[in-house]
Amino acid sequence: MKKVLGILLVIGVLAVVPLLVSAAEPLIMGTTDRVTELSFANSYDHFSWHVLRATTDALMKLDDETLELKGAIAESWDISADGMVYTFHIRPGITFWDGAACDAAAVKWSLDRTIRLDGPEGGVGLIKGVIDHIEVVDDLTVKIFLTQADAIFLLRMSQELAPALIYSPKTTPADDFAKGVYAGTGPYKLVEYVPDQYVKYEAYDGYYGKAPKTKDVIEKMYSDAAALRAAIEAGDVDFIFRTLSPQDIKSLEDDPNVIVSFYPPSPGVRYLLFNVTQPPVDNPVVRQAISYAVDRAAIVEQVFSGTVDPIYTMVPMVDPPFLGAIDVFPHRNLDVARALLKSAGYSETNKLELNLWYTPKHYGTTEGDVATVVASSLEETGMIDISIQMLEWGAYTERMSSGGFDMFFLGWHPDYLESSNFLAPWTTESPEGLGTFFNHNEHFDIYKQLMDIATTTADTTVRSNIYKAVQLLSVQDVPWIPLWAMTDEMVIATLPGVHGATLNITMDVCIWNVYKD
Amino acid sequence: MGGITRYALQRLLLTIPMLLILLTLVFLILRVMPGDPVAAMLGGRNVSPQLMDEYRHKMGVDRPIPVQYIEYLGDIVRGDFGDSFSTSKPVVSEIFLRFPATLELAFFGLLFSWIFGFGTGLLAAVRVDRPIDHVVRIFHIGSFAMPLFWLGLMLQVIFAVKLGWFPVATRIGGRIAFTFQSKTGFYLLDAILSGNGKVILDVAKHLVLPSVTLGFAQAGLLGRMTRASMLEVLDADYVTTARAKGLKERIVVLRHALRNALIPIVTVFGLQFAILMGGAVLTETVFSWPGIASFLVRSIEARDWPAIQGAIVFIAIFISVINLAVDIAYSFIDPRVRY
Repeated sequence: MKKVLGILLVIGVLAVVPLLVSAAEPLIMGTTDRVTELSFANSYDHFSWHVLRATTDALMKLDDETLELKGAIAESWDISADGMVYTFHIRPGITFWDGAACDAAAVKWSLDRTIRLDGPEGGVGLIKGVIDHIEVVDDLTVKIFLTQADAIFLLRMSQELAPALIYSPKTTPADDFAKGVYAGTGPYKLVEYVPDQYVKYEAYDGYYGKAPKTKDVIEKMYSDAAALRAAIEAGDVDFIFRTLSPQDIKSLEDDPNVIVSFYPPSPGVRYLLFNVTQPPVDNPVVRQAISYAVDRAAIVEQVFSGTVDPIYTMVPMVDPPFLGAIDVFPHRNLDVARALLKSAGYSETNKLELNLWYTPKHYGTTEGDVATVVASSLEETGMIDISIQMLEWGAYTERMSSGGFDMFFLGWHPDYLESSNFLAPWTTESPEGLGTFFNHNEHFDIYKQLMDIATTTADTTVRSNIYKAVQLLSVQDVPWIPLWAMTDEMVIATLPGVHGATLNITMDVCIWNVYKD
Repeated sequence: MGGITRYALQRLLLTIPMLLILLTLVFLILRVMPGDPVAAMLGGRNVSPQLMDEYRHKMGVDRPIPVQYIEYLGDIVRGDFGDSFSTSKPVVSEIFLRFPATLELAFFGLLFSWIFGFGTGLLAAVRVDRPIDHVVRIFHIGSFAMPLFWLGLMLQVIFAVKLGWFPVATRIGGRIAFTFQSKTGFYLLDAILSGNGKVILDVAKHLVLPSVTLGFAQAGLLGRMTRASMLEVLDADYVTTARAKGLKERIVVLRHALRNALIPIVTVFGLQFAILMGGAVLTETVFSWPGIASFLVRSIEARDWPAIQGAIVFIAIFISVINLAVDIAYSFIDPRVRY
């Protein structure tokens, strides 16, 4: 009898082993994104940051579900009364994959190194100007001294910003960009990155937080939306994220073997910009007329088949809306547009002649169609004559920052999720770099003062009112015309049986939450 | 010094002025193109023009063009193509990372084109003016008239999405990739060396559709050349003599006619490689194939000057070497040729 039981036990074990093996099958994500460089101090793109975030943490993080700012490597923190000193208490027992302890010294080393290296392709500027110096108090306490009070400093120290991520001094090169050579705290270990092919991850057993739901994950890179769509249709990947064309989204929705999920709203915004020094758009009345004439509904329906949402302010009206967000720009009204054009001296016989600049590939393949639709909507006034102009991205940005555009398209993925990041860049922070030359506008000083106060004000009611004021002012000065939110990027397609692949306003998928049956 | 060695050396010496002209042209075209690397990299971001100028200075792209040119040539002589602006890694390592993928694809594309081109060309020649000849000729013309990207997409839809016989794109499946580590960059070779049947099958299946796409147009061209060359040879006196001697038709065609018909076809081999490198740009894009051609396209979009310069020079050297090898091989195929 014992023999029989023993044989049955062996058979049982042998039968279970294949099941265990199949349970460990890797999860495969497909994307058209590329890693530019896995360096904390020299990368500034969605996918590179996505990989870095999956493999290490910062002092703070946004909760995956509630999006509330909470401690990550920091267990708690204190802020001095004047808002100039932040004391972080490090969670005890955190280790990097290379076995080194993640303590106060490692935190200081990481941040100091990132700020010192400050690569040309990085986003270090988002933290560099704010931090004066860092001091280690004891093994688990670090003090960060600021150059000025900063209302969003905790957000700057969150995982959302790759320059704020913490990594191991034992593995990461001290004086060169990491280029994939680093050790993080998890939740995943970076196993292998093959440029233009894939990124492999394995769950880090020593992760201090909740263990990832899938042990092995691979993210495969496809060259374009057509290949990405075909990959999920053929079952080559388990889910796809970024970026499908509107036509592919519609087509996949009809495929019974693929589940398409939308996660609106999106904080990514698309808009028209004006160089306010460039005739004829140096006249604010002309810019106001255009803001009344532009047809967002036509863009949404004719170009994007309803997969994006029209917007009437630069500050995302997400759920809950960003601080101070209010719809301020007018809905389409051709009569008002014509009246404004007439008051600016234009008529059916003396038309306003304008260029409309776009770049063909940087924002996907729909840009030319958007330009055609916008040009038609403006020309419907009967008083505007648009000449559509196109430049490839490298030449586009060069001409933009040298003031060579009058009216042009641009897009914005937020650096951090706060309203100021949707108002300051084009008006007060980089008006020349971003082509508006708004620093020459007569009301520039007002904007500057308002944004400066907002930056140093912790009181959210005051900040909210300031942001509202800036948005209302922008309707008169029209440095921009908000057009649509990039909801088409908030789409994930999965095979049946794949769970947890969701998006929130960080516009990123948390791969540690994804698993399949 | 033997004739062939002297010839090879002469050809290699001639390569030097050719490369110098190419290097200069690439250098100048990049500098006069609108858009600079810093604008392509930082444009559209919250960065001031002053900071952009600072980075231009750091990257050395603000120096006078003659100074950049002299430094550029000096670096290349030392074998240093600089670091890629996009990835911060040495251009040479970026090229060697991707070149095996392109070479593997080109090899199998070429293999397909030769097998298919020869086979159909031969068939058409021995069945001249019969229905099969007409069908094959239409196929030959159609194959090189067909746009590569369209063919690639059709193959993907039919054989990957609808039938599920082959994967849609990339070099290796996601599940297999976890059990595979490439050592040489040539995935099929690595797969065979690993001895793992599943890996070999997966990698081979990933090669089929891109190789067919890349080799298809070349197959038509080769088929037409083979047919024309074979028809000429089949009319020759020595073939009539062979037939008169009572040799079997199969032996007449394969042993006597085909060998001589091959001579003019082999000469296009070197040129074929150059054309394949051009075709690889489209094929690599359609099939997400991470080779040097798609790397070059992305580098141009990013105005990554060192990467563009390095990739173009590397491709030029490679095609020169292939052509030299073909010329040398020619003397072995045709004993009348002596260097």
